[in-house]
Amino acid sequence: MLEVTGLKKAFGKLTVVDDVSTTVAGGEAMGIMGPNGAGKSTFFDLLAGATRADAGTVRLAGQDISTLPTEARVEQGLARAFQIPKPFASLSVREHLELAAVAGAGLGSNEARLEAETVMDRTGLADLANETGNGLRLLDRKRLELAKALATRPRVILLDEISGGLTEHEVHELIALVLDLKTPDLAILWIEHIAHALKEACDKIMMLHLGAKIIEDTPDAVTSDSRVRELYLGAANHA
Amino acid sequence: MTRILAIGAVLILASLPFWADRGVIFLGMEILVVVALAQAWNLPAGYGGLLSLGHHGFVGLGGYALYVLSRDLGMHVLVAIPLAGVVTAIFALFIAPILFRLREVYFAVGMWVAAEILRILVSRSDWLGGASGLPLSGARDLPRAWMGPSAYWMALTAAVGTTLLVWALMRSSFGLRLRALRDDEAAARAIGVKPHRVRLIVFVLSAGATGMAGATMFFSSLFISPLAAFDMGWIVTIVFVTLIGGLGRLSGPFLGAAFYFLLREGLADYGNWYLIALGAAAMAIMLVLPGGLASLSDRFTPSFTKTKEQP
Repeated sequence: MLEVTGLKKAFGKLTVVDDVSTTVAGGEAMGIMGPNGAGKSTFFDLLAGATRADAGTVRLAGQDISTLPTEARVEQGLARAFQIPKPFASLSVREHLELAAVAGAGLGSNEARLEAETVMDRTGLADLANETGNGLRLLDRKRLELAKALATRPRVILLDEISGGLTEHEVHELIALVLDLKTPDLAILWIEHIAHALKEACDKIMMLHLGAKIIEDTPDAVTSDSRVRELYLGAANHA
Repeated sequence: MTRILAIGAVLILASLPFWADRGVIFLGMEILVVVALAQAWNLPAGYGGLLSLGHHGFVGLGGYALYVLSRDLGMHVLVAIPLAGVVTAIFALFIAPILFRLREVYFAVGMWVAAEILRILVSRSDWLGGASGLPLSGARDLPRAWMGPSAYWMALTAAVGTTLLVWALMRSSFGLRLRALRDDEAAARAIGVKPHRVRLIVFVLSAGATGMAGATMFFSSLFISPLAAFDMGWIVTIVFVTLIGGLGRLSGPFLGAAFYFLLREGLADYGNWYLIALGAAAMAIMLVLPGGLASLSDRFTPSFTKTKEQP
């Protein structure tokens, strides 16, 4: 579904994403790990079109979307849930999702209303439909972030540390949600620091360090790899 | 219920020329023009975060468009007034690509500069009567007794039309796009909202409505000059009325216009003192009621209805 080849981005002399290539098929979930500053979020910025890549291509279902602006990529089916939730202050939860369905998935207003209901049921937001974005607690904001992305009817979804700041129990709820997303026509890319979350939900894990891909393999193979242990798990144990 | 009241109010307003004297009709027309102007300015500024300080350029352009359509194409004034709005909208469509390169305060100043350029170009054009201005050649399209009432009804159409336009836009999914963009542009784009297109639509509609209101105003004066048409006073009034009434609220322009004209007429015997009173009132309201007079209703309603109240 998503095909990335030779993606590169440098800010001045600092190479932040260094020649990263990968593919994620529909129905597949790929976890992305790496220490802070590994270029994970910039990698997502490049995929989503928030930042223009210096080199490389991004293909969605065979179509080159490398030069499209963010909103056009969303229309093509690439959605993103931000690390820091960005609810709209003056919109209710239902309005968030209706807008995402209209603007992102191109639905008519009646279809969009149904889609909003469906997505709210799926993400556990149904009771908060009339709440505005600002009135939500953190877990619900994270849910809304995910729900917005889903309501654009994506073929590829980018999840950027959606479990950050949540309690252990809440993380499990989120993992259950992500596992529930797995359908043959959706590719999931998930950046997360919590290794067990990725191990539970992902089919494979890609490890980034200083912008470059170190390894991409099954979760078990990645977490037992000596370089990964040294770079990431070692550092995490000390912290 | 609100709808029945609104329709009733419009019908009563529409009947005004049959029972009021000429002075009242003229004042009513002026008030309605200001309501239309404020409503049109409120659309990009209050709902879209696109603050313009150059809308007096559209007022003047609409006025001149009416005079030219009437003189050179021999168009009937009552046809030419709405068409003047269309001309202004088209003009806005063409200047938007340049002005939209500027953001926020730079856009506001850019608009002001654009209005100044318009004024200078018009006052140097012999075709447009230069600095001394033009008479309305279509003044005889209507019997003399019908001029005032016609201008009044045109103004009523503009005021009701812009209000309905804003109301309908904000109820549609387009309104959601606009509010999302105002709240957080990056997040709006991330769910597929096209910022440029949304702002362009709002800007062009606003310019068109402003042009039509301007044409109505200068239809009643039977004469137009660059100084009167592109007067900074227009934008000052528009901004005051909208801020006092309530930025981004449908009732804002009505409340603001009521307040403005009460002050102006109440202090009519004291020269320009009403301007000072207006400035002081505007500052006081912004300090005490940052949401304008329209936000007064929020204080007396429970908070859970707020999102519904705000169109």
